[in-house]
Amino acid sequence: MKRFLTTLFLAFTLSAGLAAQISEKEEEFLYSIHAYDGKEYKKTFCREESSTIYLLADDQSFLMPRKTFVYYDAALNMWRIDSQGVNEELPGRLEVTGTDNKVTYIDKTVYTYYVTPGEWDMQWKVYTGQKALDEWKTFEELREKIREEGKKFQEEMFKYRRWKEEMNKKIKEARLKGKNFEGLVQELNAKSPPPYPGRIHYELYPLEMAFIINLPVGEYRIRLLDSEGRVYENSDKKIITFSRERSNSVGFIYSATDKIKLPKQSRIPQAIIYINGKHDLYLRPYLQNEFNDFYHEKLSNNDGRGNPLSTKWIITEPLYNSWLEYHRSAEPGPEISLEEQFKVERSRENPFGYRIVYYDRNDAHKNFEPDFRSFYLPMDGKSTVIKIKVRDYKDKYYVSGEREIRVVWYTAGLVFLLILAGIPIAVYLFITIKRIILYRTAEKS
Amino acid sequence: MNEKVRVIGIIARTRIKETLLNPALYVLITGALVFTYYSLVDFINAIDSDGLNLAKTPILELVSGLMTSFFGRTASENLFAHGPFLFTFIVIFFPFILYLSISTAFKLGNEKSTGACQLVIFGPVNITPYYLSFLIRDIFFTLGYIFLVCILFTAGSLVTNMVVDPTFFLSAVSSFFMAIALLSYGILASSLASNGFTSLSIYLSSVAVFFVLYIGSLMTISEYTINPATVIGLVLQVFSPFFYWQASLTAVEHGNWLVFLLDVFALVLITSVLMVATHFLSRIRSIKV
Repeated sequence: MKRFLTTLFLAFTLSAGLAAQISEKEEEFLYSIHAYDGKEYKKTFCREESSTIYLLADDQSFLMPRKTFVYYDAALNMWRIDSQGVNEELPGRLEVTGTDNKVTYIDKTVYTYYVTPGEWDMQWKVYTGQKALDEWKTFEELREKIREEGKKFQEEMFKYRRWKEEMNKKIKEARLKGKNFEGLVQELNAKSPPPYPGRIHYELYPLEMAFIINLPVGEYRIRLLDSEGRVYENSDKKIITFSRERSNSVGFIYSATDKIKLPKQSRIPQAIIYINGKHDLYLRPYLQNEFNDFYHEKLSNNDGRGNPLSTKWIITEPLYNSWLEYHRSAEPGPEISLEEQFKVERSRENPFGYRIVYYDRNDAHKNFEPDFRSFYLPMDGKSTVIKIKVRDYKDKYYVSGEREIRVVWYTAGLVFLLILAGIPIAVYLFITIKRIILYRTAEKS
Repeated sequence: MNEKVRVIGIIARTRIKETLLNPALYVLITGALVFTYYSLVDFINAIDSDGLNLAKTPILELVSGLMTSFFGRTASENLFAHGPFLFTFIVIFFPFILYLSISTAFKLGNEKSTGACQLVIFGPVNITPYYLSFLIRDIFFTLGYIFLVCILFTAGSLVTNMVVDPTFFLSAVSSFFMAIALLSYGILASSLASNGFTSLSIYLSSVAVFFVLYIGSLMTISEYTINPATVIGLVLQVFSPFFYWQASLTAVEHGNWLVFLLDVFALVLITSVLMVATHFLSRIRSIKV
């Protein structure tokens, strides 16, 4: 009986737990959104329950109305789309009404976009209409060409390996028989493997039909009309377009030698960077824009949460052609650091460690790409304050491109605060004792 | 007029003396000093070769985590952007202001119910100088406390090589005016009530409402909703010292000095309106001896 009850209890609790992970899937009208967030395109969707779509003003974003299944994933704490069952793209025109009641109609347009890879080369390109079709055709042709080249390479590589095996076999036999095999070795070394095929440096997003939204700052109402002018149920939404609060401020991405793979950001202008000064720093300045936190969070994830009174900085692009001027407190004047390329190599002394070296394009790192680009800021162990400023190639300082780096350490001098803490109590005791004495003296007299 | 000023001075001096004889003041200052020490040590322990790593100290990680989940990542970043001083100041300043305002509201209400104030103000003055003397006491101790904290932080920064940012001093200025506005609410509450407990209840309820509205306005939300409750909340915020205080802190962060001055002016205006209201309310309630 006891075992039965235990099993029953476990079955109930576990099944309840599992059931709570994913909600029931429901077919809904929704707008799939590809929204530009000031740096890149973010994918999100606006459910029936959500009343507002948030987009960046004066930038292209894409809306795609569709009917599909939606469910809540408790494990990830987010709403998700299940497009395996139903994923019906809805035809029609989008009616956009501004606050001045001016109505405009938008038709669907074919579009595509791509981004060039690499953290610092994010150049988003969007093509619409015929240009998108042309670009897609070019991309397909390129992909086909690369595929053919790849196939050819595989075949040639196979032949080359077979030939190499044969040659090795011949050399081995000649060596065993005591024959001269130098000619064979020369022949083996003379023939190089087939060259690697070319590769595409970008991935084009498949062509899709969408409503292109590019509106100035304001509030709008949208609804989807079918071919007969009837409004789709639940298609009525509000669009809020917002702009940058502050733009082209300078932020820094930096990391220390011992944590090179874990870079940190200094986004707030005039903020202080506190470090312990035990390792050199690698800094990279970049341009950043400030957005309303609530709007930007909702743009990235329509079900997300944000703070309407707060703002957030979004990095846009690195500062090219700039210099870093740094002034260490132990040195008489400012010094200059130029942007360099670096390579992270395995340490020779410590097999689990690594070392950072300058990238050598011609010799040591001939066939490799650099791991990162940065301004090197050495720690001298004496300076406690390092002031950094970014200036462009015309020697003009960037606004908000200044930071103060402070080397902080624990000092026994802090204990004086604890000693001070005793003073108020001591003062109170002194006053109380003095009052008691005065009272007793008065009582006696 | 001179007589009134003299009376205000005498009563204020007595109030200051009374407060100085109270152990609570010393306990609070000691607590503030101890907390400052631990806060600075914790912050230093959280500093790594690549900057601040709050996960290294449990208390700061907890604070940062709570801030991020309730108010968003930016709020947490702003709090520690210039060092540990703003966070420490907020933590040690609010208990002090709460103590001062509670003691003001309770004491005034209590003295009214026992008739003590009638005895004290017996003479050529009405109740207003009596209330003003409390305000002067509160200004005296708030200024003194902020001055002490500034000296303490400056000393702490010199020892640790951390920076007490100029924006911190501006934040301290707006905090002072915010505190005075809050204390004025305590005086107004006591003028409305007939005894200490009623006065305290009125005061704490109003501060709680302002505080909840303030925290609510900072929290991350998923949707804007306009309903009667939000409208009432927005209207009430106009009277809330926290609202202008937060606006002044944001103005300091953005370097918007005009907005900062306007916010400080709004706090002074609230204090003045509350004191004038106290004066008329006490007249209506005929407390004049």
